Amino acid sequence: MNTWKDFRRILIEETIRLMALEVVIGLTPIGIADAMGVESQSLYRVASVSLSIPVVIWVVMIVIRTRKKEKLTQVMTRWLMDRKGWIALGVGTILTILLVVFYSLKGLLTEGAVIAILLIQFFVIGLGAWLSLRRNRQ
Amino acid sequence: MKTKIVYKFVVLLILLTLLFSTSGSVTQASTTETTSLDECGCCLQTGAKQVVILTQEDPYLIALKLTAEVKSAEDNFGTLLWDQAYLQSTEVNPWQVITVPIENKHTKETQLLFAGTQDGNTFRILVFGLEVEKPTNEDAQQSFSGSLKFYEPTGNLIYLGVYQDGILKEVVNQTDEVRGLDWGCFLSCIGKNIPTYCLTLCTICAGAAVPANPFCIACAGCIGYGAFICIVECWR
Repeated sequence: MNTWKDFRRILIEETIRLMALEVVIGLTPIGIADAMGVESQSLYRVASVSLSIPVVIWVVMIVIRTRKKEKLTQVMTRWLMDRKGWIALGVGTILTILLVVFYSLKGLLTEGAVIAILLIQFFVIGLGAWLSLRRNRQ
Repeated sequence: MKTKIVYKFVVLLILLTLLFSTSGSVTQASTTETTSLDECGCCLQTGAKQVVILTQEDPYLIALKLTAEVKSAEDNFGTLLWDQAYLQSTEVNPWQVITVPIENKHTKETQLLFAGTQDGNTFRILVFGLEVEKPTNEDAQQSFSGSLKFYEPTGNLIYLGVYQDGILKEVVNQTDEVRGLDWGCFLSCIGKNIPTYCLTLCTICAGAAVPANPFCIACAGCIGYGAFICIVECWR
């Protein structure tokens, strides 16, 4: 029973990671290739490779974690920002800014879109700070 | 006897009239260079009567430049090479067709703007695109591999014919197509929009992929919203 419970939890967590990785690894190269003016046939090839990499990671991670029989910690009711989270936020912000600069240079983003993206970045940093403060209070 | 002579004269007159009426060519456009039936073998096959290179002061060209469709074609395809525009009229059809080459750096297609007119004021405009897969040589002329396309000035593809070794393999006629998602457009849209808006949220989520992580909920919402916007944008 416990094994099934653990497996189900691993499956859910890795599926969530798959969703996130599809954006980070899967969709980003497609947008960059399209902005560089790659032909539609090549674009489909880039898409099939980049979108399948997170699926491979998903399968590998499930296999590794299931085989390892890792002792799963108690499910957190509240997730709070830690050091790893801040590093991810920093990396994400830098990558987003680089993407925005690249698309702007290619003339694919309007001024309004750039402002909207920057506002979302501020919102994300604010959310991170709030979750971090809540962690410190506990 | 007198009646016979008059009869012969009338028949001769009719014959001469018929002969001269077919050899002449009529065009309202100003001409700088003319290729007649006798000089051009290809014109005989297509039934074309005259090919005329148009000057910049030509009233047909001036009227064409002012149309909204041409402005739309310039926005969606590229620069129209007006100095290379020419007019073609056919013997059997009252339509006259102005052809303007397009310089489009975003495609490998050879593109031409076709503007058909009867009165010189109203035009029916289409953009023709030709893409050759194999390099043109004597053999390739016999066995053409590539695609022929017709677009609306707005950029919408309305006809696509794919040829393989001179044989028509596929025809896509957008005018009678079933409505659906344009996957090329959708892929391009989500590839650009979702990472720019959701990258930070999804990077944090990928680092700590647990259901309780609010960044994962935000990432899922961001993907859903972006996908919905792209579906709406690319639904044809």
